Amino acid sequence: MIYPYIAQFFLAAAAAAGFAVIFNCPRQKVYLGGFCGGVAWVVYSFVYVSTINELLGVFFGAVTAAVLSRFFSYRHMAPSTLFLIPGIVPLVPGSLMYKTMKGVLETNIYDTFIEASRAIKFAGVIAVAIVLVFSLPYSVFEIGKQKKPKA
Amino acid sequence: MEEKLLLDFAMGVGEIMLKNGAETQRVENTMERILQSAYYNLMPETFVTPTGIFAGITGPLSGSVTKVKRIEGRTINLEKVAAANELSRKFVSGKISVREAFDELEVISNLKEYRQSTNLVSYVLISMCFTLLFNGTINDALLSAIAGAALGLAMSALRKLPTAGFITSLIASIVVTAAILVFQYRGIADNYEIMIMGSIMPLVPGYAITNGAKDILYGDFISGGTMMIDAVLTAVFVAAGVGIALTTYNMLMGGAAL
Repeated sequence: MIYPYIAQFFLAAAAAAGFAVIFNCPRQKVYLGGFCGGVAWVVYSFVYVSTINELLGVFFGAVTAAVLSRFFSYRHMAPSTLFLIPGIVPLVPGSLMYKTMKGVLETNIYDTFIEASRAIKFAGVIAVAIVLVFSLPYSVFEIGKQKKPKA
Repeated sequence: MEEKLLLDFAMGVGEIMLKNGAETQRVENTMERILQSAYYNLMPETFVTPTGIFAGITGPLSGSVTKVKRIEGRTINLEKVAAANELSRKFVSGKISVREAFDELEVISNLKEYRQSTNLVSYVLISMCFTLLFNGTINDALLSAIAGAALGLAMSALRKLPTAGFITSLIASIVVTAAILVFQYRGIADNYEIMIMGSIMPLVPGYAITNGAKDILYGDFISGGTMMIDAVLTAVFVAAGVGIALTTYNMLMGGAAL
């Protein structure tokens, strides 16, 4: 990662907002999807650089996106999918798909296998992170809710 | 009569949500909540798969009624999902009648998509930003933006054809890789590999992975498994498109190593 985190945030957020437009999110909520994607990417990048473990990075990135999307879902009374999909997509291993294909073309079985298994691991970790966050009860994310006054 | 109307309305909401990319569990839940909003227990049962909806009620007036709806051609339009969700919430809380709800359903199904130009800009933005995020240079990012524009144009042309989603992914990834290889041939690309990685990002199956994981979490193994197969197939077809373009380029260049 040769660009500073703040630049990475804006790049990833712009890309995630682009995905939100492609998936036809409501106009007033596109920027929230972008925010999810930007934060998820920065968390991924930071954890990856500091632990040298890309799977850990993807895991925490996906957890961040899922937590943020559930929080926004409560705040804006909208399906969490609106924020989750733009938030997760930057973490999907498109580059590994290319590297797998390159291994196939060069008939390099070793590279093919390594890159394909990395791609599958990425997808699996994303799925585990989503399942983990979405199995928490909804009330966890009702941050800032007005408590009912005691009678 | 009222009961059948309620079932029709629930089917309409479910159809809009499923057609535009909602998760199975959300569709089942919403339909069931609408059917339970009747004055007495209709004993509603709903069963939703990615390709069809089944819903049944047993009421004192209508007897046992079951409706089946086959869903063809899923597109992703999350605005309609959000609007249908909102409508069902309004209906269940009793703010609007069935008649008004049907009118609003009509409005939702006619909601406009983003303009072509907006879509094109977002394809450009995605390709450019990911090229930079994968450590590409500014020059590469600008060239990827052109490839992204080609991808956006190809996608909007392909959407009009009655082809399966996989063929769309295949042709789109061939187009985008070919565009980048043209730059490589002209010698203006710094690192064509990073450019290809960044420019195929708009095609990755992020939607299928996300919704598949959620479906499996809620125990809808049929939908979740289908979604995961969808994700794998899309990835394979995108990679195959890249492979076709690269191999053709290699052949034209007389087998020169890339």
